[in-house]
Amino acid sequence: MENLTDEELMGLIVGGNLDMMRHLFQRYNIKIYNFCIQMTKDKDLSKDITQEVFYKVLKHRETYRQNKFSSWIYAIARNLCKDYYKISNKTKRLDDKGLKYTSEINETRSEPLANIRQLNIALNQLNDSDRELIVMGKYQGLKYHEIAEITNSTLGAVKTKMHRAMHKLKDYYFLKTKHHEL
Amino acid sequence: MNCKEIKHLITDYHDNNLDQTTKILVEEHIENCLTCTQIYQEFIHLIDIINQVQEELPDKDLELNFENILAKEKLAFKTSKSTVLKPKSKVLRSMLQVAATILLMISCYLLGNYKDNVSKAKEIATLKQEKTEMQTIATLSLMENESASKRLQAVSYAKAITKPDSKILKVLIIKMNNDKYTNVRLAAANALAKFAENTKVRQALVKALETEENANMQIELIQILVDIEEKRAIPTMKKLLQNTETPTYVKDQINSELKQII
Repeated sequence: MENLTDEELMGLIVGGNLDMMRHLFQRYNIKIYNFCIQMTKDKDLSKDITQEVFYKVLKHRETYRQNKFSSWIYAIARNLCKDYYKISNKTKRLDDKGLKYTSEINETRSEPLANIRQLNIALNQLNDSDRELIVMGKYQGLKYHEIAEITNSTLGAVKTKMHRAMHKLKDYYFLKTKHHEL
Repeated sequence: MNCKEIKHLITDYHDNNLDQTTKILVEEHIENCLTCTQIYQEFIHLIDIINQVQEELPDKDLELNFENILAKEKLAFKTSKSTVLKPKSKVLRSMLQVAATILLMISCYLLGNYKDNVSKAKEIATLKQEKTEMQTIATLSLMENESASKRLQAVSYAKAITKPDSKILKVLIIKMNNDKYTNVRLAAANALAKFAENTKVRQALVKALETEENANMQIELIQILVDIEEKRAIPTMKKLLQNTETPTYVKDQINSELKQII
């Protein structure tokens, strides 16, 4: 079973072998959980969303078509996170005090962790779609064509948007750093 | 290539996503342009930081909850699978329903029929009882009639009653013993013969033979007593045989009948 691709496993699940879902859970639960954390900055909520993602995969297995499984599961996670944006208070999310785990990290003063904190602050200054692109492309390591599939966009559009988002992130990151150094 | 173009390609350059020619062009530009070198250095740093971000590990209950969800879904799947098989049992079910309906109809019909019969039987029984009562009343009133023929009619009515009550039997016994007319007495005796299973009637018949003086009545009574095999009548018969006043043809009758009864 370890040698089967995600899509082959999904085929077995659709065929009625629901236990195969365990393998997909093992392959994706940490990825999806971290994706949700990057998107929501809330561990408890991310756990709930991750759970909901696997519930939906199981529940709607019949609607799975032959495209890449990773794109499908990320699309589900992305939509659930978006639902969360709709009901959550944006300003609260962007508020540094709301960043539960960045403040945890803040307690430690080692340089790499300070950098990560800085990165998170920069990331949170991006708009939702830019942040989403960077999380998928740079944090989760998804390919451009996968992101295009997930976001229902084209490869070219994703590439262009990604470049812009990366430049913005870099600018936010280094501007902040400079600001701190002053 | 100017700096603006390089800016667009710099992430792809870092990710090694460029074709060989473009890659060399970008590389050459970066080496010679201070601004672009700085930008590139910043990118390297940024991506290095991103790569340092460690994955968060969800706590164990995420997996436990997933197992719960999976178990529920498996159960739901099994149930839905069995519902797929249901059409078969649906046919069976509707067949059973039809059978049950037919059974119900039949049982209703039978019950109705039975009830109808019961009520009819009840009605008939009531009517019969009413008839008996009327017969009794008619018989009793006729018995006291002046006319002997009416009294004879009454006796025949009484005889027709299948289960006469004690009143009728009493009146019949009285008529057998005391009516002025032998014909009425004979008819009464005959009627009583029919109800001989009643012990009072038997006793009355035996007693009547003792008291009866009319020879015709005596012969009739002897006949009846022998027919009902009443052995208690034997002493009375023997007495009649010894009695000198008893007519010979009565004695002959007694002699011939006695042989049968003993």
